[in-house]
Amino acid sequence: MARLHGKTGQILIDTTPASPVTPVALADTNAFTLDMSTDKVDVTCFGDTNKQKVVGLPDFTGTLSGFWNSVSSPTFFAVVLAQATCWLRLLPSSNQPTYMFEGLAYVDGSINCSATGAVSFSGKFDAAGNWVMRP
Amino acid sequence: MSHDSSDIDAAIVAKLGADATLLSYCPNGVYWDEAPQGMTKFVIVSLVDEFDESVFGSRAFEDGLYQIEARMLSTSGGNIKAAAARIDVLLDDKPLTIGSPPVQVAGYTHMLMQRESRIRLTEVDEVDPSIRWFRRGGNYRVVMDVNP
Repeated sequence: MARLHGKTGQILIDTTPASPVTPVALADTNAFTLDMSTDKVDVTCFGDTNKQKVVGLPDFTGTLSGFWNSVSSPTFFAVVLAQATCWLRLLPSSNQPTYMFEGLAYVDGSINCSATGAVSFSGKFDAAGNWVMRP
Repeated sequence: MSHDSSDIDAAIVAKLGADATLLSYCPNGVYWDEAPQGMTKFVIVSLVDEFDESVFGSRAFEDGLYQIEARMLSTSGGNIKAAAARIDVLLDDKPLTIGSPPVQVAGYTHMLMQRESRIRLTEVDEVDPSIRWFRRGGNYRVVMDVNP
């Protein structure tokens, strides 16, 4: 499979997650990150010739951003303000819609408004359930 | 919906060219990049810089910087001060709409049109160094949201 450009990435959200989830595309978004770093615990002992660590569980945390759209953005911020969980589905490319990372999340949000630029928003999220990578 | 970036350029020219007051100062008209030979009082619109902002799956908006200025031959007796002021009245912090009643440029929704900097120059004519061209106007940023 070829390398991908991020221009066809996609963020989908289900603001009232129930089984089965039905996430829909969040409009006017332009970036996301997903950090799956694992905890590393130092278990170095006397006699070891280098530091040694064991791994814990992976974190699932990230960021998203886009431009404010009065039609779609309030949906996202309603979840932020409700401090409720939502279902996030992150697609590196909507041209390959079966490849994704998804799971339950808590989201935070902020708005950036400047007299010299477009109104944009950004958000952070943390896993609120078990995340998966598909397929 | 389809959209054509050149329609934004044309809308600026059309908006200026439709104003009777501006045309009273610049009776030769409003032109893109260059005026026909022999003209002495006119307005020139040029695209200085442009970038497209993207969102996932599409273009979000187009951000263009236009140089828009009245140009007058020094011997033409024109009022370039009034012409530049009229350009600013028509463009600064105004919606980029065309026609009457005003309509949006097809395929776009207006986001911003405002002056970013002034232009005021005196230029020596390349053909005849004894005459001068007065140039006055500004650089105007025009940002248009691309309709989905």
